[in-house]
Amino acid sequence: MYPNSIEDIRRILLSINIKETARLIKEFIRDYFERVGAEKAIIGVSGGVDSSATLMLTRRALGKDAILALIMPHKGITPEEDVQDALEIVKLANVEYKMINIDKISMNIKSIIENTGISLNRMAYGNIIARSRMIVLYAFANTLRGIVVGAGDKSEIILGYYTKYGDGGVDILPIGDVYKSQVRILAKHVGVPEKIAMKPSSPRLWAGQTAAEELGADYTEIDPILFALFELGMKINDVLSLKGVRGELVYALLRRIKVNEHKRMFARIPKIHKGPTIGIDWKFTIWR
Amino acid sequence: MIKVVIPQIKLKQGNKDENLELTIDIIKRYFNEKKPTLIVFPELSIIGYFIADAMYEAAEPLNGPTISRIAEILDEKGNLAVGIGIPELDLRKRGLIYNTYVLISSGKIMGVWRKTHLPTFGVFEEHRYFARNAEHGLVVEFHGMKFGVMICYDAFFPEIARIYSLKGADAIIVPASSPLPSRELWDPILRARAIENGVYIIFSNHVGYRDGLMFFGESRIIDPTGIIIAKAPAFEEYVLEVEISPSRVEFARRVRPTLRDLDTRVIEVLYRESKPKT
Repeated sequence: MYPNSIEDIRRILLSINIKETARLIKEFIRDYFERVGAEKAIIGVSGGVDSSATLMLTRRALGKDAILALIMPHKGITPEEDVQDALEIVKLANVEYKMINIDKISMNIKSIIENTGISLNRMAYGNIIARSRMIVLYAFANTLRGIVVGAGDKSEIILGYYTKYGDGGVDILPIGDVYKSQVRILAKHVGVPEKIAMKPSSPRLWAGQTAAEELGADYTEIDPILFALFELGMKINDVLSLKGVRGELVYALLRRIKVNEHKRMFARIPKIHKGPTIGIDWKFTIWR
Repeated sequence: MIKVVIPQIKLKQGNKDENLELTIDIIKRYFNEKKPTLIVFPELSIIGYFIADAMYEAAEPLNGPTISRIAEILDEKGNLAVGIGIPELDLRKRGLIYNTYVLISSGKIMGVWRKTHLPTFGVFEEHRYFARNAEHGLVVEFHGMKFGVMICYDAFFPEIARIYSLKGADAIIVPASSPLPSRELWDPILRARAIENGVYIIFSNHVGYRDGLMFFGESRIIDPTGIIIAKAPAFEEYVLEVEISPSRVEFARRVRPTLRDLDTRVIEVLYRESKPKT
């Protein structure tokens, strides 16, 4: 039956074969890890659903000794509940973890920059926090012959709802082709407690920030729209005529996808030579 | 009776030397086999299929090191035939490369097939690299059975299987590099080709990740009546061994004589209609 409501699409979206998805992701992590000859998988754990699911999947793929989890709260921004949830999940996974307060690093960067006379806005500082975490993750990775395992999901990556070179600065994204609503099911399947699996999403770049408020809707409403566009190949007009869809949300999402396209690309380079130019016609695989 | 072996093994992306060793290891396992044995590796097996622009470097001619080495170790083994895939460098038209499959036995090349339909959509970019072949119908005999080859996406075009069948093939080898998005399509496609022609279909697929793309395996053999007689598991290494027999081809064409009932006037219409009208 051709879907004619948002509800129909949500049903299709949630009918994903979760067991096989988990298996494919585990195989992927194992394959990448072995082929680059890594010794540790470094994962930032926030207490949210994405990083918890990623941690559990990586744990199942590589075993406990290959993993180092980093919990990096920011005083005044990260809710205490998140820190507790992060602790719960690393203990559940039974992996080594370290707690690093990111506020000192981030605030130092901010104050050094602000000493030049500029006053950073909320977004700029939020991104400094995300990028500070990236620096810490790679410091561990470089020292322990590790790779940084990112936790972005498909909904966020399509919308560009992440920090370029922050949480986007990682080596692999195991759940990067799984929509947020699907990650919640996947998380429960790999043993993430219900409370964490169903927790409302937030990048936590400033106090009180929520994804729903910033994006204009919850992922339960966003995901079926993205799914209709990208997985079912529906035309924009057909999506707009679905029962239960808010037209202004569809347009807002499309705008977001377009303006954030740069986040999914290598930095643009003007082509000079006939030979392959990086980001344009340079096509190589990781292994050859 | 011929024993068909499909080694669904994790070949290494881009590592020709290692893949050649893996290939030879498998072949050696069958050195003392008494029955005629045909070992069918997947499409572009020697490079593990997908290597993007490294394809130009990896291409080699039919008299290059890979084919020569395999021919050499098969020199004294007349009851063993091996099919492998290489990116083939054209010796006549310099610079052109093909997605090629080669059958080798008794120290010699038995046959060479170049892919015609080069998928260039979705995750595929084959036409960026390969020239397309326009010749079809080579059928080779091995211990009393006749074989043709259609490489992966070529199987989606029923005309190719029809040509082989009309030229006397009992079995068609389908070396493939099929990733997850195509998984559901193969059972109906391969069974249809078998039933339409009353031939065996021998499907050999890669297994494991190439960058982020999972090649799912599920290599299989369809008998000439359309039944899947053996299927390797998904996502795992597995060596499939199945015996095939010309008597099953005779049986299939008796109980459902599609090849006998083919009305060639239909093919004339097809030919006429497929030509561009200006």
